[in-house]
Amino acid sequence: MTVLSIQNLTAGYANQPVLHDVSFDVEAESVFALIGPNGHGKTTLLRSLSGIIRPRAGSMVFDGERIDKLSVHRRVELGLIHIPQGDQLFGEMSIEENLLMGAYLRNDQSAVRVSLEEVYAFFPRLGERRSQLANSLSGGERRMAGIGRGLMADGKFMMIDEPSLGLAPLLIEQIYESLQTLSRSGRTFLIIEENPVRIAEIADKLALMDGGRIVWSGPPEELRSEKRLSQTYFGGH
Amino acid sequence: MDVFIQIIATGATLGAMYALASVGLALIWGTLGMFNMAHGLFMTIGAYGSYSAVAYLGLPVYIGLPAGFVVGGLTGCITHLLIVKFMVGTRNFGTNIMVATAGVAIVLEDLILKGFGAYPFRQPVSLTGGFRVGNVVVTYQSLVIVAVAAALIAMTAFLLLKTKLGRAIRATAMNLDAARLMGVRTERTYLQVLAIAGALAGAAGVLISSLATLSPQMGGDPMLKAFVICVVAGLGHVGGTGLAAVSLGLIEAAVQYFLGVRFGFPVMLGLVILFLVWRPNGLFGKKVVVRL
Repeated sequence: MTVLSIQNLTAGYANQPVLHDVSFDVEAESVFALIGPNGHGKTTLLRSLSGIIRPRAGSMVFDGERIDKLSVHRRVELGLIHIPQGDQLFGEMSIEENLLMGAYLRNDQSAVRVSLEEVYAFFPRLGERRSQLANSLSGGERRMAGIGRGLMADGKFMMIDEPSLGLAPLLIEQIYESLQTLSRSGRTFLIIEENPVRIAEIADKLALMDGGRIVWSGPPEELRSEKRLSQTYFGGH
Repeated sequence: MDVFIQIIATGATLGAMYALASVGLALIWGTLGMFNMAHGLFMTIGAYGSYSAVAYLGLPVYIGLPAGFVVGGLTGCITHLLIVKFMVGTRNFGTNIMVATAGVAIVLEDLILKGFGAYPFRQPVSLTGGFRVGNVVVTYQSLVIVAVAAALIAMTAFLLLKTKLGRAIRATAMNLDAARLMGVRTERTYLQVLAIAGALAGAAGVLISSLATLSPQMGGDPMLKAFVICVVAGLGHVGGTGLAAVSLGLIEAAVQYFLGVRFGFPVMLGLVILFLVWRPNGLFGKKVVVRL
């Protein structure tokens, strides 16, 4: 079943279009990965999906509902959760307050408490440091807090922008193990990565972005033999 | 010893009023990145609101303070709904909103002048009498000022630090886009911030006018001091603002006592300049740290 369907999306900033006519579908409870070098519109796509920027043309349907015109908070209410690039934590707040901000739109406080304990169980490191300011965390801890904060929203669709960005190889491994576990939790994931190697191991489907367009999409098995991949990353034809 | 008590009593009263006047200014700066030039007029309107409630509507004196609080808060809301709302997020917002709120201040001041005239009314919402500590007379009104300011600032701190609304306000101040991604309706947060800041300014106006008189220009001097206090504290730092306000109130009281009343503000400004040479970002201002 398709949970997110994007048709002919065009978006950008001021007079600078970044995305051109992008279309794709994401199946429920799958992991969909958007790969491609930096500066090719992947982040712009996520920002359009969460409503931070308004696309110029095209349609976005989430769970059977057109979301193009909806405000950011309405999309969060529908369960479309965007974990932004570089974590974007609230630096002067404790980890726990950051996590509680993730549950901002949830009113059942006892359920929020349960989620909080689940996140602490999933990332024990966050539990140990729950009262520490987010500013004082290391890169890996910040990433866990960013993902944990997204989990707190209890949404069914999680969009993660570059989960491995700026992390050491060992930490990337840890984060990916977490994502692998989460991918079996009944949620749907749309993950952006610059580096296709690690994401191909957990993704059900990949799409390659080049110059604001999707130039290839398919299952991970076909990625390795895809000529477009090296063209996109290294140039040449 | 009497000198010491006198300075503490005067300084605490001044500091309490300054703190109440500055906290809202700091809150607005921290959340919206806007310097509210109409903040002084929020105070003036609060003072006239409480005066009108008692003198014209015949409400009991103890309603005067809440009336100033409410009128100030409403003025903040109206300023947001008519002006700020349409400008926030646009290019050069920081500069443009200063001009716009300065315009609001001029209009409001003239409206008050038109409505009430320039006559310096006495604020009916105040207590008379006092008690002696040693040879120093401490007025009941000073105690009321310190108590009301402390209570309102404590309430604001509780609101900001312990409630969901406060968390949303702080989140918006720290990272606008991230707050929106959490589902915070940031336009509404801005309205709430202007309401809170306006209400605090309104209450400050009532207290300030209780020691002097009401006049359409009464907000100018406290706003100037509030701005200085915000700069000393580090722009947008609400907690530091309270501390800076009380310190500067005490310093001003000491200078007024030893050098004369007219030297209070010049010496305070001189000290602030020296202080800013030492710490350009203020007491709690952050250096911009770039982190990858």
